[in-house]
Amino acid sequence: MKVHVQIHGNMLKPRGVAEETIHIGDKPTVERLLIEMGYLREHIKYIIAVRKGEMIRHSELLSDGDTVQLSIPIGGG
Amino acid sequence: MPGIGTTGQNRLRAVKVAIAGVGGLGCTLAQCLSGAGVGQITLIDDGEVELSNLNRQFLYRIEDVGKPKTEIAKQRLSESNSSVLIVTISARINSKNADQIFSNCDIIFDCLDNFEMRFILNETAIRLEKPLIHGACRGFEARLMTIIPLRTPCLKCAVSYAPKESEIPILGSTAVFVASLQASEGIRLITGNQPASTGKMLFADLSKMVFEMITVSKDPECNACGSLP
Repeated sequence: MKVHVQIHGNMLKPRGVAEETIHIGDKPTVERLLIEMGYLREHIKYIIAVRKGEMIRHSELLSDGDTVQLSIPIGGG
Repeated sequence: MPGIGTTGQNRLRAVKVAIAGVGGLGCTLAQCLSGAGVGQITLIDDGEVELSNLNRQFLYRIEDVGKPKTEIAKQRLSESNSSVLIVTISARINSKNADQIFSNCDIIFDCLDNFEMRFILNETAIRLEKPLIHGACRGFEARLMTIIPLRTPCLKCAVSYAPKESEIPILGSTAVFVASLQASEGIRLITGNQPASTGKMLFADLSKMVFEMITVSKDPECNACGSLP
């Protein structure tokens, strides 16, 4: 299954690119996707995932062809 | 002005708002709300003016460095509109003092610079059932969300966890952008209009001129509002 990923803003890009297509297999959840991308487990909880204009939880199942946007919380003021 | 009128102006005159944090967001927000004619603004911040603040905290001048932010902000705001009552609280918000600080206001504006206090503010707003208008920025990136307790998702529904950051670079223009949106949302709420960012969070990247309103759902497992109806 293929999922297109876009990494926004100042977020860490473990594979060095801001946009790419990821192949994932069983249990294609957001969490699985993030692990496949190389994010460390202790950092994953901070990541915000968006699909079709909606925030989705890390347990959400993804579908073939989905585009997922990733970002991190911003707290400056 | 359509959508506000005399009734709206009277509502603005009668309202008491609290601004948590008088930094990059809080300075511009306070100027916007003062100019709009709100009745009372409570400024909460325990900080002193630093030289590095002056790129974005436009109520302060170089001769203010080392002085309490709330007092200088009060002085400058009063110079531009003496009919607004400015109350200052020079304290760091924590879970023990938050209820007392915010119990007397009608709307809370989140202009803080860290998530530890933002989460306390979110829980306080829910507990006191006060609308909370959240703004945040980093570099060219901006966030905005309006929370109406018991009716809309809260900040923690959108941001469950947040890393601690010691230094957050902020461009003055980004802070002004976010603060202006917070003011617009607050004025809409006060004047009886629907705010645009309830149940949604604005994700804006001014380096690419990308602006997206992202839908946020109430999280039944949210430890701030999940147990509420």
